[in-house]
Amino acid sequence: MSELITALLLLTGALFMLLAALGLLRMPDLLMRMHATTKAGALGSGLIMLAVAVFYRDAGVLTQAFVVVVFIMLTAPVAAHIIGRAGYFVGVPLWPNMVRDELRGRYDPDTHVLESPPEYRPEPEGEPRQ
Amino acid sequence: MSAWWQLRGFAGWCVLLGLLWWLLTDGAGLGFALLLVPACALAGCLLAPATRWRLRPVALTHFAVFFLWQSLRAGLDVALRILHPRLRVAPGLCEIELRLPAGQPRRLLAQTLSLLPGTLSVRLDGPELLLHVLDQEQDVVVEVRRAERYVAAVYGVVLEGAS
Repeated sequence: MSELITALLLLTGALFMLLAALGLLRMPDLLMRMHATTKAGALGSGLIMLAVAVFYRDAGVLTQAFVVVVFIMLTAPVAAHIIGRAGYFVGVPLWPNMVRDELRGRYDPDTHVLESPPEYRPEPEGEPRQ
Repeated sequence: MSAWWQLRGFAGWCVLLGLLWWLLTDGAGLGFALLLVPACALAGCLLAPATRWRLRPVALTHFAVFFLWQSLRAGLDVALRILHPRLRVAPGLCEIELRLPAGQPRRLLAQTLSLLPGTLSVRLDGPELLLHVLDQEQDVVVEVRRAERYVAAVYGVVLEGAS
């Protein structure tokens, strides 16, 4: 039974890793690729570590697997953020079919200054609607 | 006082990193650890000086459960989009003003959002967070506010303008 669960977890984990790689190929720009690799990649490696924990059923291995998962969950979004930010700063072209770009015409790549749009600062968003 | 806090921070890093090393290696390569752990702790102190934020354990658990569940959803969501023959995306960049205090809480939220479904934080500048959104039809503001409430609870912060 535990071998079956291990196999299932390993396969789904590997599938998510594969999909992350496929996303890297299919997604049209840097930021969208980061979505694919961080989210699907983190989930895939998390599932593989879970498989390891299920297979060994040992407290030591379980803690190690847990630490590895925490480590991935802490570092994957940081790395994605830094890469995305660097991409934005050096002006990596974004997909021209983007639905909305609130930064268009407001960002100066030489000074890295982001100007506020003239109509900015409406009432705070996300207030509970009465 | 300040030096004392930094020293405490350094000691904290040493304990944390030492524990991590021991957990991952079962105590192998101890000489290496004796050299590397203080070096990394020093780097940690320099890059992220000790702050006075205190984490609430119960809220942290709630946050962890929320985060795990959401990152599972995020992985599935992005996987389905990738598999869709027409690559079901309608990306956009949007800016949201965070209500969390500066420093750790804002950074934690920005990192959290990168593993939540459909959002990726691109730039955090003061309270303004620039988000890349995979699908504009998703109600990003609601999701950001929800994550923000979890983070606020972790730090025991009361959000301005929130009920």
